[in-house]
Amino acid sequence: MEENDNKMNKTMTSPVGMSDVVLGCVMPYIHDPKDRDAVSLVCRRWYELDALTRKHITIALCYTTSPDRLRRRFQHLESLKLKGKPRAAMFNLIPEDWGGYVTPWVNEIAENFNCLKSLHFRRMIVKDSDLEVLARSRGKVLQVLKLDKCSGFSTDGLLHVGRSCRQLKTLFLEESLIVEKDGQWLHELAVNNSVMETLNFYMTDLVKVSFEDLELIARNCRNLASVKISDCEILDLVGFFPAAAVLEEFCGGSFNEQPDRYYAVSFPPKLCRLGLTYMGKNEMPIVFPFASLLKKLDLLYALLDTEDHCLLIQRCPNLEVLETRNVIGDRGLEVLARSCKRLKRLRIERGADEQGMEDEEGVVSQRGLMALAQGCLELEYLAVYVSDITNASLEYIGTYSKNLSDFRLVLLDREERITDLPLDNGVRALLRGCEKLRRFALYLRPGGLTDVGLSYIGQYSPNVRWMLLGYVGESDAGLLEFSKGCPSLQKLEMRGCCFSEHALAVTVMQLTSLRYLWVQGYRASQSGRDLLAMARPFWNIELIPARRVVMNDQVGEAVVVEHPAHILAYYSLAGPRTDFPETVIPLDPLVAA
Amino acid sequence: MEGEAESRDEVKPNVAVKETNGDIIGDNGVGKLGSVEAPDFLGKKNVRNCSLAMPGSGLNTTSHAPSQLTIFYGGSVCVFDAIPVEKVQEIMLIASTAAAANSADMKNAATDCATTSPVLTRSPSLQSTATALASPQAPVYPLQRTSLCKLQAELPIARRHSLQRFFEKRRDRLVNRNPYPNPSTPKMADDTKANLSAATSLESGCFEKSPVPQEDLQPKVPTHVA
Repeated sequence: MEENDNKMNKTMTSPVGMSDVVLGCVMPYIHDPKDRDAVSLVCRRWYELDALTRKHITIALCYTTSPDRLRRRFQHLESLKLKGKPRAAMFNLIPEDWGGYVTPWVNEIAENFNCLKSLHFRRMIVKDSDLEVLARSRGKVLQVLKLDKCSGFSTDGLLHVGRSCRQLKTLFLEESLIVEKDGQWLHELAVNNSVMETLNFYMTDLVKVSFEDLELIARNCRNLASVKISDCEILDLVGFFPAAAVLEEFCGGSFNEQPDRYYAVSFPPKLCRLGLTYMGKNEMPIVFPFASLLKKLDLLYALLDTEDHCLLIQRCPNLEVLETRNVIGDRGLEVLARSCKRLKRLRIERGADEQGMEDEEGVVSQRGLMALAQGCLELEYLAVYVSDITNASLEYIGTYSKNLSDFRLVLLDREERITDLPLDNGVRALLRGCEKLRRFALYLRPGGLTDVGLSYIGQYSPNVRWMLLGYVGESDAGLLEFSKGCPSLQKLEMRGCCFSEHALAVTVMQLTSLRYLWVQGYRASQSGRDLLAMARPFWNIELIPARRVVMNDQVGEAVVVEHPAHILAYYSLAGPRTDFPETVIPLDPLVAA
Repeated sequence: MEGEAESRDEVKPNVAVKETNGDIIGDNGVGKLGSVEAPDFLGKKNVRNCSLAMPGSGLNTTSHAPSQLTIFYGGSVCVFDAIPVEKVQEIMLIASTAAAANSADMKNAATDCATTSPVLTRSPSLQSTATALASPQAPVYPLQRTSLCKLQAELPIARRHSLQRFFEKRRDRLVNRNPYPNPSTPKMADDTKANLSAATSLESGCFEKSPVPQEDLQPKVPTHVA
């Protein structure tokens, strides 16, 4: 576009008649990435203004672009979120060395991103040297560091963070695999930091940290609002809790002593988000005094049975978020529906299969779902592992759960007979009723959804951006019908499907918004080349061929697990990866297979 | 897997499981067994639709590689090295149970009423499996369902790593506290504290006291950032 370089012309007008000054004032208020995307496409000037004023970028897969491309466009970035390994890595399905190294990004950040204050790496491989570089180059300004389900580093790397990042308000390490040398990193944090607001090393196995350092952090950091730790005896925290005067969230800990000793523990007055690991029925009453304040309850790692859930939940009328295992049972869901009218998010995970480890009542079925739908009208997120299901219960959700934006259902495989399959009509009713649905997961079994049902998913999910489909459909025809719909679908994950490579390739070509595909379990072609029907510019195709992995099963015995092949395909501006491990193979149409 | 070769000199198990028209016929050519006994069902029972019927000719030795399992199924062949004989027996038991379950289901569906054939449980004893299917029925071969069932067996619902870890730790806690569990104890939902011998152990994951002496209690004043 021609631009008038005349210095006398200070106010430029863009094609739509708005001066840059005005635009410069308005632009910073536009936050939604899709809006920003649209703004940047109007004209070059708007593209540049967007690039100057964009504060945050999320790169959903780090291999879709490169660090220097990011720098060329958004050099003034303040906040970056990068994701690496496929979501399936959270389920032990992806080789540990798959990739997602932060090193090239950290190096670019150290050199060029002078405004960056907030970094979030999710499912990526981080090395101690990366943390050292980050601490050295950005330590003075870094306010948020999240190493979210990352691996590859040790507490030595965290030492650099503790020493150099004195402005750090958020340190998030949840579920990361960290090699523990000692607890010195927390001590460094404790003596160097007085602004910490969120400290999280929940679900890490860090045990050498000292609760005295935790106490010190609480005393020094007057704004400490959220603390989530690994297993630490709760009684050792009798100094910590009073010191953390403004604490709103606490998760972790451990109960190893006689229950009555815990009745003396007093929690901070503003505590409203709570999750106590290994809490059993005898310790549960310590929560009762402030249960009515609770907005969020994490019972995933507690030791409660169905009755305990009922007793606790009925005391929490202000609950907005609940996470637990299916030991809650249908009865617990009925209590939830009666008591927690403000519930927004509910996640029900799968319990252990071992005999005697979970409650006999601990199954969730259509009965609980129907009660939940009718009782909790504000529900926005529902993820549930069910043991039985009916079309009617899904219809209820479609009728009542009008605010639902994220729905995930997994049908467990323990029961031979399911009351009401296939779920075609229920799924259709749910999709048509829940108009705000953006994320959708349906994991069934053979016979769970016919080809017609699969076509309903395509037809009735206009706003869904992410889907996980497991064991749905009957044949390629179903998938092809499905792929004619889903106009917003950007990311598709499929598992255990009967579809051929050819059908998958056609599907990819037909889904208009698709930018990411992951599949495990499909009908491979004889030649292995049918997938190439989806080859096109900027589309990377990778295979993880079938593997055999030795793992520990539920009772700790070593078993050999067969991992069927995966397909991963995604748009990228950066060309194929250059850091493949042995387990991952690129599919290159130019190379004769 | 390759590094797990458990070939013992005195045992050369070799099992080739072949499928013909839906029947699974096991052909167990077992070498010198040493201390391992050939299970009953391999030698004697003829089970309908999941027959691991042997040619009763006894034990044959073949010249295959030791502990190698070959499975012919649905037109494809899988070969597994270094499978111990116990695992092979487990695999064959699973196959016989699965095929028997399919057959029982088909029977029930066909007759559409409660039949006198006993419902097959998850882990039937070898004896009941054999007697349950003594009466021959017209076999229905649910080939598509079988192949999808196979798919399901290959791809069990994946478990979330965080929860897996929790279940492992929970199990360790119970073992540490109650190393000799009473078999009649029904639920373990609340930890039995009664047998708490050692108070806290590293396994229960408590923080250790910091070995480093505490320094100044005030944070170092951050140097002025230019």
